[in-house]
Amino acid sequence: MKVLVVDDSAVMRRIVKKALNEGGLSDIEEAENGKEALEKAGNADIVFTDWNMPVMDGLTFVKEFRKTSQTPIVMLTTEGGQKEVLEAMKSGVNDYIVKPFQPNVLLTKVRGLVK
Amino acid sequence: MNQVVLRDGITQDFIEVTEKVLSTMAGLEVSHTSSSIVDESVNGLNITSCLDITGFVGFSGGAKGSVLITLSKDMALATVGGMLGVEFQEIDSDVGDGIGELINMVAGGAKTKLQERGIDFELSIANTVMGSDYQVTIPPGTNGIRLNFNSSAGKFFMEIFFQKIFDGKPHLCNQV
Repeated sequence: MKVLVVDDSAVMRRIVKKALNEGGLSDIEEAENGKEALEKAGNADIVFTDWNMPVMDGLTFVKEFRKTSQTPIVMLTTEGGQKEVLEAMKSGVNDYIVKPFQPNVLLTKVRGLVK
Repeated sequence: MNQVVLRDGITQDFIEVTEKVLSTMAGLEVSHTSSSIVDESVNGLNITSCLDITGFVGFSGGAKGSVLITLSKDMALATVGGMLGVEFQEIDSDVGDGIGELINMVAGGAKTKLQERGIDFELSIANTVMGSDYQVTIPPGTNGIRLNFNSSAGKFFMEIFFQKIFDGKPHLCNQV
């Protein structure tokens, strides 16, 4: 299974990768922003994306990616307001995790969304 | 600066979010030790850092301002080391990136809590400054508060500034 992790923070990408690795997932690709994610997401089985990023933010990425793909997307962000969650879900996000998070919640989302 | 009593929940929101972020992501238990008003000035404020690294996020939209977190070297290394499960000896680009993510999570969590109080704003991308030999200038008409924290790993403080929503209404905190 291939996972794409999209976040402008290299530290946050390492935190997510570590959690996924410990759950047995090793095929993990990274992107620093939504634009780079659009180039890489076609091969992914699931995408974890941040919201606030330079170049292209996560919400714009989701809207663009949803024009061509139904690959599961989990928004992993500090934006935890009801308004933001609703906007993300309407844009095509399958699930939503608010930072800070417990690492094992990532694996729970993968198992729930990728059959 | 004057000692203050926290009268409403806004500063408490920031304290609770900070404690939760550091506990959840870095395994660090921290405690809020004291608070001080940062006096408003018609000519703006100049804040000089006295610790080793600062991360900050700007607020725009319905409320304008910023939040800064400034940490000692030991606290910064312990924070990012705890987040990644590795040991750092010096403040490097990874530590800088991690402190940016720390203030990003604090600002995001506080934004969610303040939305529930009817205060809405957008967050800027987080930035980090390494070192202590610099000065931050805050625009005129800004009210602020400094929150001091301590932990077994070291000390740090947070400064919260808002324009407009607090103009003429000292309900952020109260001097004693």
